[in-house]
Amino acid sequence: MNYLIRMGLRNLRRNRRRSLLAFLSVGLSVMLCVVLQGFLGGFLGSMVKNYTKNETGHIRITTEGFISRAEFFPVDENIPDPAAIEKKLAADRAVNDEIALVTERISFGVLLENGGLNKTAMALAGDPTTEKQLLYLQRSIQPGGRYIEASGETIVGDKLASDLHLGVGSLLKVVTQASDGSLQLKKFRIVGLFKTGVTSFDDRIFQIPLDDAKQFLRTGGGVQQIIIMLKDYRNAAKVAGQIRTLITEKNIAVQPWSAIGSFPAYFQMASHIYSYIYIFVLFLGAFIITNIMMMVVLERRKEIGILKAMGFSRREILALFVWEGVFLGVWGSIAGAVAGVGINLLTRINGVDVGSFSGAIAFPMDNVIYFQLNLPAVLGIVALGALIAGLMSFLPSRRAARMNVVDAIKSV
Amino acid sequence: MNQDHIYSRAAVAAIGFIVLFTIGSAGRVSALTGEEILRKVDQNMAYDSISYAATFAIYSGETVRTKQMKAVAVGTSKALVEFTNPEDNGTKYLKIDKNLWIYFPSEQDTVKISGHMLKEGMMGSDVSYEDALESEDLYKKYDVTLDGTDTVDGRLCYVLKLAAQVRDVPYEVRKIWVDEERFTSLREEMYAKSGRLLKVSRTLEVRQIEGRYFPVKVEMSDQLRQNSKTVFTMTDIKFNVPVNNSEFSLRNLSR
Repeated sequence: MNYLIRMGLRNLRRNRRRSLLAFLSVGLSVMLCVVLQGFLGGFLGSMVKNYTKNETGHIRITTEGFISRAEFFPVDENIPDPAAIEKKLAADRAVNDEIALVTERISFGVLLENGGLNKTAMALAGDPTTEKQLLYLQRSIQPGGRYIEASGETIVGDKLASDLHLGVGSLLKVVTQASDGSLQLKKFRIVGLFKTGVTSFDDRIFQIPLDDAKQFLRTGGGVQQIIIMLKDYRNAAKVAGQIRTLITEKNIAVQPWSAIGSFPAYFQMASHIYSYIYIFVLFLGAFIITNIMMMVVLERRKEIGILKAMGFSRREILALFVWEGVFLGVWGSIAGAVAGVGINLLTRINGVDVGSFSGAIAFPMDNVIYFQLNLPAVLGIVALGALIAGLMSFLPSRRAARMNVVDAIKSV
Repeated sequence: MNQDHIYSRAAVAAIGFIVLFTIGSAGRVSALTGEEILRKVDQNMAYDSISYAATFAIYSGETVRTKQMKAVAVGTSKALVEFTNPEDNGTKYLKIDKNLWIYFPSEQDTVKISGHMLKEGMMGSDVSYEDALESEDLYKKYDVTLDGTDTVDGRLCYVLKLAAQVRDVPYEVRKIWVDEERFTSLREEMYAKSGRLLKVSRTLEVRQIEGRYFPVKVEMSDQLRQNSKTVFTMTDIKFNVPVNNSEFSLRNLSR
């Protein structure tokens, strides 16, 4: 076998330009895949981050009843003693080591009114200090306003405020059904208007302090959701399982973000589609190897005939040409991966501004995407690139192996 | 999300049922047209004023919330409802023609429900604001045809089909089963323009009060929701009671 490998290597050096072309073709394909993987990893990671911090957390603890009516954000499905659960999370070292942040939240639908104008909206109630690290609405406060600092204050989406003819300093009249089914009105002082650029936020969201919401909704200290952010969101399912074993309270549900709503399904579908795109790009690159190997086989027909006349078996001829293809594939893949990782490292630090693009997406996402560097994924792409290159060189190699000795020698 | 969950379904529906009950009863009539039957239903409910107490049971899945209220109304254009159950005690609804205000004692403030909110109604509820505010006689807004007879709960009924002749109606098509003998509505189906069934109301109990048949227990269910219905039961019904018109004012609402 070794002599075949040595012969293969020597053959690659015989026509360096052609080998370089095949090498570059595979290398560029792999580099493209690695960079694409880095970008999409960052892009999808950004979407997951925003989805989880705005909506579900990486892990969400609610009542079982809440899950069955989650689309209505019921306010009568509350965890009666959230502090007891949070205490258990903090006491378990394995779980606590995974957790970056735990906070309580209540989201609920409301009717807003001002001077006879009505608008439906969504209230987000949480601890104002903690929510600074999740919703980041303090960054989008318009000039003349500020973030929530005290009870009874609210910040409102600028479009929502505009529709109701409200501004900073106005009183926001909020009507909603409390947890006991009664209809309640509460007035909040608007201290700031936020403009995130995301229509779904600016048009229908306002933020209030959690304690105000508890009182307003008559929850008796209970909260609708405990939101947990992890250090690595990919561990959500594992940690959710660990948390389930800690919670002894009845009718409490622990869900990883991937099990909530329809977004995770879209996310997973997108990930699958991107996997197929990688394979397609790698096939395109490796296709060049097929063409080049085909040319090589045609050019070296006489040589193949002589090798066969000297006693080379079909299998040896096949292996000789396949090795040439595999070398091109492996070297090209490695070189492409190195280049791709280099680009990803740069963009991982500096990021890529997609502000003009992200503004058109009705989904909260960052304006700057920081590429991800996922080494297992890079190794997978390298292996896939080498494998596809090897497979693509098989067909011309088989043609070489099947050549008739006399015909091959006579052909030139 | 279902934001209309936020409103007190009970209070609004209370007003809605006042309108619903305008479909009343009378003696047996033969060879009537659809419009004549509907006019009789409307006429049967005619009163200068009415006062009553009521219980409102809202069923949503396994949950049942019960509310009590007392109400007074002048015709079908003005109504004042005050909730008396502990959770909502002191909350008042004031309806004047097509306007609806809610008074909240905790904030001592009033909110007006208007615009598209009335049109959208209460998603997740069995009674919409439009149901509550509908006050004109149906025969003025709908083309009425007699669609044969049917039996509801063992009682022979005229079946009326109502097709909207004006745009300002909550339902394009309605189908009403009118008790042939008592001229009260025993069942009503409300449809969208597409023909989709939106709501069904059923009269569960009819009583003879002051010489007229009057539905005192009605169930309404939103067909777009699962396991949801609202049952409205009236007691202490008094017709043509003396009412001071100043009761139906915003000033009085906040007193």
